[in-house]
Amino acid sequence: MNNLEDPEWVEVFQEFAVESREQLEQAEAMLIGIERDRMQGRPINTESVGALFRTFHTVKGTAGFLTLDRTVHVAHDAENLLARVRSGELLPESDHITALCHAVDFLVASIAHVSRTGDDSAMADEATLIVDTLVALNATPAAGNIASLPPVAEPEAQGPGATAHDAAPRTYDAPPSLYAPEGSAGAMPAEPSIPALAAMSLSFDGAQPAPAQTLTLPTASQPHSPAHTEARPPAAQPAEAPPEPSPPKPRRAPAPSASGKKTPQPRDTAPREVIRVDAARVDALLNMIGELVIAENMTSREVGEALPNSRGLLQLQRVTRQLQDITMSIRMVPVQGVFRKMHRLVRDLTKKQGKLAELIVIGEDTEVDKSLVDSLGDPLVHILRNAIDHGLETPEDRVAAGKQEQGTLTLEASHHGGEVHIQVRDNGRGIDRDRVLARARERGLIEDGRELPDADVFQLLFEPGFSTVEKVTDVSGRGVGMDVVKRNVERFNGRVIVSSTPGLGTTMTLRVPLTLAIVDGMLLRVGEQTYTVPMIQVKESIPLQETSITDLPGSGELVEIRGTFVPFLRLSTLFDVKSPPPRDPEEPDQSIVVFLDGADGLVGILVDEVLGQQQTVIKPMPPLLAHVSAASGCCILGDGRVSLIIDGNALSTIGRSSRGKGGMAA
Amino acid sequence: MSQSAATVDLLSPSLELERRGEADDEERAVPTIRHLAFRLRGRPFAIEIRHVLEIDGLQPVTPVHDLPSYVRGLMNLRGHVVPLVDAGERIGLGRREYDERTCIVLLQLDGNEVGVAVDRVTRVVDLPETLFSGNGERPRQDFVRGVYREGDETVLCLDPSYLARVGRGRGQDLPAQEGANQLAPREER
Repeated sequence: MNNLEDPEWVEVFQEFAVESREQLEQAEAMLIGIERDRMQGRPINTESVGALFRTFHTVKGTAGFLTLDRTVHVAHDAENLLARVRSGELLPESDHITALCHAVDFLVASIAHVSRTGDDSAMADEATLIVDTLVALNATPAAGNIASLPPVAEPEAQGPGATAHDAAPRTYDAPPSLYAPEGSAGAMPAEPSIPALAAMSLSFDGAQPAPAQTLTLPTASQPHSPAHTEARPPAAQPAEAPPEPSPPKPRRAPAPSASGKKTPQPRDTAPREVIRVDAARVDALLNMIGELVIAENMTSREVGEALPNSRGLLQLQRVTRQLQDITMSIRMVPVQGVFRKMHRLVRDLTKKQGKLAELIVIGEDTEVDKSLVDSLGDPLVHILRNAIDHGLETPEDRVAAGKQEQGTLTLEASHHGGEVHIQVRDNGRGIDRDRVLARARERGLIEDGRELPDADVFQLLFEPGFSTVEKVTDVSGRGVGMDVVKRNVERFNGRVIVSSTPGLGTTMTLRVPLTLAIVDGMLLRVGEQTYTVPMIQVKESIPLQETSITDLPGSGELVEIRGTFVPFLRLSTLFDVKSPPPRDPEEPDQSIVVFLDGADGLVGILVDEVLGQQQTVIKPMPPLLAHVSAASGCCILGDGRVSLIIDGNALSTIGRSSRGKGGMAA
Repeated sequence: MSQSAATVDLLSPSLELERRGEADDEERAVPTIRHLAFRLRGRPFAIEIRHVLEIDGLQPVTPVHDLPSYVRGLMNLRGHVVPLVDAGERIGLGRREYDERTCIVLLQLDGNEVGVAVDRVTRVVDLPETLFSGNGERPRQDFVRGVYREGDETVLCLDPSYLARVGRGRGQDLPAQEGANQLAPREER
């Protein structure tokens, strides 16, 4: 019988999948952190090693129960290798880290595979490959100065490597404090219990003399593990929380050292209680709150007229707003998860390219909407890839340019009003403005002799297929990538801003709305219809009478704004809106041109009236109408009617394309 | 009505349904499918009730561009934004202004909710399963699943998924070729 048909199996597996994915994600970051410590001659973070060991151990245990043999094998051999690292018998080199990273990759892949097929037998070849590598690495000689120690208590550690101790001793530069003296090794339980971990974290924050000293943690590593305080004693768990599977492990693993080093954030040591909730239920809750807000709006209007000072009504309004805020905050998650994955990317890419770079992460606690966090990964991968491939110079070039051999990449997230800004900075060579221009002229993207401001030149990088690189590498340079970034970010109403100084580096900023669930919208009346446009896209609005409209024969219209001409769209025509009731000729024309800053530049749209501003819950377009152009969703107005949310990006594209038909350029 | 008599009855493509209505205790003997009967432009129709979530009064509709004219737009049904399809126009019976008897039948198909405007809802009927199993004459239009006789009227059972399918673009996917020549609106009695 297929495992997927066994409800009990499926239940255990699902729990396993969620838990393991989370831990494996952290495992990767820890591995990179360990490698960095090694490279910089610092002692390795034994807490990370312990957590890694437990991760593999847990995966092995549960996978065994689920009869996922391939998964068990890989986890087992990774665990073996780590057991030797943990005992201080083996100092991990780059090869070990790579192999362990591959093991993590495999486990993630196998979990994904099993969730589809219920079985991991199809992954046998990959598993063998990884197991072979791990076993071979495990057979390498141990560090000479402890070769004489008896084998460690870990039963799993009896791999082929266990007998290879006395082979050619190699010298390692690690401080001797790293190796646990016999006595203290005994004091350390094979599986530290959670209270023990909690005690450790308390002591790291400097409060007590550490019982953790028995773990012989070098003091130098203290500032590098700021996140471990979230480990919690089981006693603090709420009764409703799902039981922790055994063996126990800390909820969060220590963060990699780079992030900790730059932003040491002592957190309060009070254990945080966490409840895992199905995202669909939160969405349903949010939906209902949205309804409540609308109902409250309607009530306020209906009752408010009769009872302008009703205390009950005021109370209702206040409670509703608070409820909305709280619900919104439930959906907010830190960008940490996405940022963490970038360490591995930077490591692998720089290695491949023969470059040296350190990734500094700032503000990984910054929270954004859950739906957004998932869509940020892809754009960031492309941008970092680009920064490493094109931005950063080779170590030799950097030295020649009088820079530090090692380049710096900075990944920073921060809040700005209703937006989140995510910046990727490199201190590489910067963008060669002239080369970009030359390439654009070559490709006919701009006419000869036309000059562009810097910002416009950099936007050319986002043209599909644009690349200034002569030689295509296997990483980037084929010109795909940056246009994907732009499309991705625009999909959630964000934008990408580039700035660059030759010789000093490039900064790419993703500006995205805090949430995809609520829009701060401007309400526009067109005929009898009310449309909503996200405030983030509104540049300004000017009464029609104060602008001038130019007709391009057969290809649309242009509107002038401070000397430049941009495409002009009449929404009533574009959206085929029924004409408004005949207006009193005496009444002055209220028509307003609203300028939207869209993906393809500014566009002016003509509306009959600007009705005001409103925060509303965004509803996706019903799937059946998903193809409707220039609408990114809809929302419900105060009177209960549906309003379409206009997509300024699409309008700016429509404006450009209709102009393009006539072969005209501003 | 014995079971054998019913079987004989069911073999004919159109059925005398009034007779069946009286025999409540024998409902179980013949597997039936419950339908909602309604009228469009004076003609009787029915739709399988399994897909009907609820029946609502008319709501304010927000017109949406880029859609065939039988999709009237979007409306808010207690917080759910659903498209409104005019059933009569969809099957080629022409446009008709809505009045106080116009009802919205909320359908759920493949997880999508679609409101379907009908001129008025009449009643709920149980139709024998065999009506749809292919024993009878196959209806020619792809939006008709079955046909039965009720009194002196012929009732068409409509395919809900046809009603809920929304075409693209203004004026495209017009229902005219699909059956307007066979169906003509009648004066409401």
